[in-house]
Amino acid sequence: MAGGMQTNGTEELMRMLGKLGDKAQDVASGALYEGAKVVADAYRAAANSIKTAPRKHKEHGKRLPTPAEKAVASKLGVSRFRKSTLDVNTMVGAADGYAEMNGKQKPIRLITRSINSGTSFMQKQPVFRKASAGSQGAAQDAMVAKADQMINEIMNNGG
Amino acid sequence: MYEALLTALRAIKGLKVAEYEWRTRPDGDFCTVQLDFEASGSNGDDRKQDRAFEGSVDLYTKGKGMMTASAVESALESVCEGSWELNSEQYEHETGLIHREFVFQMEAV
Repeated sequence: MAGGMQTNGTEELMRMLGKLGDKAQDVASGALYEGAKVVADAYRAAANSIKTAPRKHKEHGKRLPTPAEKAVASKLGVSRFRKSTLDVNTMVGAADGYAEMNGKQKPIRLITRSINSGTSFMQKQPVFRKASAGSQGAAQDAMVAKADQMINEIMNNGG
Repeated sequence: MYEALLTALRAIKGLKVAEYEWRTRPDGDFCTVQLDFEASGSNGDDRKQDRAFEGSVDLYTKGKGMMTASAVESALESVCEGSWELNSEQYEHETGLIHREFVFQMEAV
């Protein structure tokens, strides 16, 4: 941990650690928020990079996603932070729910998955899988940096 | 390793294998194999080291295709050892095919 701290005796240290224990969930949430930001940015960039074409157009016997499908897949969803005594978690990815396409209600995640995995008639563009693999390290770094900063603040100024 | 995977998949009976794309959709069970991107790697001695490539096998089966799927899984197990997973399994309403996507990582092409 960068920054460091100064204590006078064991009692003081115990008091500081107790305070840290009380604030553990806040630190976890703060760090998770920073990590989710990085992943959300990667997701947006990935959605922007989807190649589209009109429905009739074919490449190697398969069609590409239409601009309407790209627009649906670009809907970003971030779930509420779920807190328990053990952990804090969230989900960043395709939005939950339905979107209208050609007069029909279709699940957003169905469209996103069909672009990411491809189908027997649509080309595969694994942009989201690549985004999640690529943003993992950056998200971890951002979370560690934020947690370090918050812990330092609590230890030195009482949060 | 990639060639070994192709060979192992081509040895499966009743499964048609292609790299990347089929120009026309074949009858029966078929799959495509491709390397998607470089998942990780590091630099050392001014060289790329320990590169890991992520790729996928897309298996399309008419009907349940459990036997074909387990044969593909054994092929992946023999070539990629533990570094693969069944990423998704989807039923295609339009064609009646079941689409399984296996994602694997391998060290060298």
